[in-house]
Amino acid sequence: MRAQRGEMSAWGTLVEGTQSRLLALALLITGSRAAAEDIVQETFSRALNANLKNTSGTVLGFLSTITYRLALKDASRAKRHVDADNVELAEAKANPLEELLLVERDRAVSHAISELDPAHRDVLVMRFYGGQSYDQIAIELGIPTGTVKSRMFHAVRACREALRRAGVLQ
Amino acid sequence: MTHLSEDELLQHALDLEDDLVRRAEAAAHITSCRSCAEQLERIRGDLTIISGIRPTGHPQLLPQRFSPHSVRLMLGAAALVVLSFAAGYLTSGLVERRPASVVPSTLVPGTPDPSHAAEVRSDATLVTYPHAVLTTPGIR
Repeated sequence: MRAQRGEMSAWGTLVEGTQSRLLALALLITGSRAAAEDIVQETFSRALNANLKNTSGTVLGFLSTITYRLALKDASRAKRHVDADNVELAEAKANPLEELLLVERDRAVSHAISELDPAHRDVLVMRFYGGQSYDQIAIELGIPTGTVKSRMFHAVRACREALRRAGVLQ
Repeated sequence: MTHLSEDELLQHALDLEDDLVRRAEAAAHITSCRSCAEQLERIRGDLTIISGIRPTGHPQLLPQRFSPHSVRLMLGAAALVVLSFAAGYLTSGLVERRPASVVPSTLVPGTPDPSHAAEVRSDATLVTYPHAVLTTPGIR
């Protein structure tokens, strides 16, 4: 709320504390650095104009919900575009995320997460990168909390197996 | 002693991460079993890796555009630029320019005319006689 009133220090704290995670979340869903940056920018823009009086939970959780919805929308738009042109699909899918994540381990992890089933992937990124609780994720996705926990378990297990095959984990 | 399975340990690690209520039986076993405790720590390390990727660099966010103070500053700067251009345009008409025909056609290099110590040509090139060496292109 202080950031909404134009306090630059509050704004700086808000951005610094959350933008890296939000960017990762958007990257993992869209696979595009440019799209992810636009989404994070749009997230902060919407947050500053949002009515925060009736919101609950953490700031990161609130922001990540916006990021997640925008990322999903972007991903579905991109998919439609990709379906129309298969040649661009291969190039666009293979490179943007990988070339932007310079650390080899991070690249492997992002690849493993991207390879997950979308239902599992979304739960994992919302929990780990959006900082949302199981209950919040359940509300956002409209599924029972038990299902969220189950998807989380399977997502992490699949990730660990993929990272073992890649030699990242033992 | 029967050790906990990897899935059980993973579930336990996730519960720890989320600060959920752990199964007392599993917690008690881990406390007394060094092997399972080590395995649990390894899994928790894996979770840290999976949840810890960070994109390099940061998006170029533009918080200024949301600050009323910054907006006022930018508008002020823009107004100053516009005013300075306007002032420059208005005062440019006050500078007297001599037409090109005023430059004596008889003045050629090597034949300086002492009566014209200096002339301002229409193209604003300063021509000084007789001291300057007339090598500048365009000067007759």
